[in-house]
Amino acid sequence: MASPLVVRSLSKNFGALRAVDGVDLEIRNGQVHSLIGPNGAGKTTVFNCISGFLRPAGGKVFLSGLEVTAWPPHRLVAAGLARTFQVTKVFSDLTVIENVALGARSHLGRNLQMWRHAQNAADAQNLAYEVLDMLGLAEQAGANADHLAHGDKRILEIAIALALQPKVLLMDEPTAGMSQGETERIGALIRRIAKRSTVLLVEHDIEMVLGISDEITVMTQGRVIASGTPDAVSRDPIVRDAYLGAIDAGTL
Amino acid sequence: MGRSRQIDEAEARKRPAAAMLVVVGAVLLALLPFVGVRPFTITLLTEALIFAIWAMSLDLMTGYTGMLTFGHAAAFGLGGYAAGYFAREVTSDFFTSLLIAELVILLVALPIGFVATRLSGAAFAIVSLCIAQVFFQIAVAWRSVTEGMDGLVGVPIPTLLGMTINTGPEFYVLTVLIAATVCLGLRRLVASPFGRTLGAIRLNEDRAAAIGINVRLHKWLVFVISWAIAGIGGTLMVFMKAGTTPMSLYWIESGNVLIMAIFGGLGTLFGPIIGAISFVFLRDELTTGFEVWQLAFGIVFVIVVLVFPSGLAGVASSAWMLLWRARS
Repeated sequence: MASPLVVRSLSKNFGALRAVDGVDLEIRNGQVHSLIGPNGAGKTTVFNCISGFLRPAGGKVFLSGLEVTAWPPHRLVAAGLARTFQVTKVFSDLTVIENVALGARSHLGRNLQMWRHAQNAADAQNLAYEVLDMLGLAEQAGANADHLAHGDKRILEIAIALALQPKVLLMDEPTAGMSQGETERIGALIRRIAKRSTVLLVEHDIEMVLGISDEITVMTQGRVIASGTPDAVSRDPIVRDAYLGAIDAGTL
Repeated sequence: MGRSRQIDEAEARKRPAAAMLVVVGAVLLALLPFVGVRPFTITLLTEALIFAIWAMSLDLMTGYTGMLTFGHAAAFGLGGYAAGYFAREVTSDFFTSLLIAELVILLVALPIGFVATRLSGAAFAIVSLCIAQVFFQIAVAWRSVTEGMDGLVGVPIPTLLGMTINTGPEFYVLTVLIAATVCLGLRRLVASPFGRTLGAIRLNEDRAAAIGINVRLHKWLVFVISWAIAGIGGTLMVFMKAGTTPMSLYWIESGNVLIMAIFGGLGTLFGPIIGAISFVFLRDELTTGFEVWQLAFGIVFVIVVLVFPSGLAGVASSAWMLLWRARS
């Protein structure tokens, strides 16, 4: 069986800057695969190229063997790929449940239904409540998404993506701006998500990445410099030299 | 979880109530000519309800989907020209003329909307203005059909299943029925799964795309539906005035409908109705008192929008909330 997500020699330029330069990735079924590297390494650009928000200059993207290079985001979602954003993009002004139900209705192919009432789509409402239950947000279902605490907003961001029941979930820095305790909560959550979906994670919290990843790919300056298990990567002298060592050599 | 389900159920109970409000409102409005309301007031109300249809169609595009348009006169004026020309040349039957107007609008709005909805924000607003100005120029220049600046005249009194719909109470009741149908239909549309995606697109286009919404397709559909509904208003207007002129396509008209919708409250559907009625009656009051009624109306407009950013509908809901608190 083909891997859920494969990227072959992906590249992207911004003017003269080569932001991503021949990146290869293979994410295996059911794994948490993390993409790490210093700021400006091109991680988010890789994400945006995979998820259809940027058109790659070269290279190919495959979802379970199907070539999906440069597909628009909505087609990728239908093909089983969902993403979250580094900057929280929940639908402010809508309730928590409606945020998630939008994803659920989309997944169930109801986006173009013009006649029946949205809340009468019981299958979508149920799916949305199920996701909120799983993430521990059910208590806040009726709250305005804008009024949530920052940590809960980050979780809602994940809930919206999970309502799409993706085969592959791309998560862009889910712990951005979170406290230590909240970060642990997200880490445990990602492991649970991996039971259903394959996860590609961009993350700065090295400790969490080492703790929850099955595989890690390290990027600097648009290129992959190492890939392997957390153990292998953390011992790799090139990685220590280029990145990890500079941050926190002591804990490794 | 139980509590949130209750929220859903409470919402569900409110729904038929709001629909009943539309029906009761329509019945009350339709009765006005028969309880001694002056014919002149009925004429004003007819015009106001036609504008209300137009303003609601703008609300779908601008209020719900976030597509600001400075050219909504194009849809209203095009519907008027198409229906008026057809009625004069072929048949005075109201619904046949309306059907022809809608076909013309579809033919025009599908390609124009396809291109225009590639754009967002200010770019879309400017292009919509340009489109309407092109329509205006065509109406001035295409004399063999539009009769140029003189405008289309001699549109017959409409008939319905062979019965003549006379100007006055009869045409007014027809307008009330159509306006109520449009209002109920639009309310239903914005509450549907499709309608909810429009709010998602308005709030965050990237996020909407990332949950699998085909943003361009949805905006294109909204453009076409909005134009089609504006065309209903345009059709009614051309019969009411027995004709039309290129001024119906002019940018000032596009501005007027935008003002009605904002004044009443965008994203509410009821707001634009209130806005259209206020606009027509204020204009009537102010033109008799002031030379420069636009100035006076502008001042009222600015005050309402400054104090109540969500328009007159916002005033109404604030008052309702106050009453509610006072009671409990």
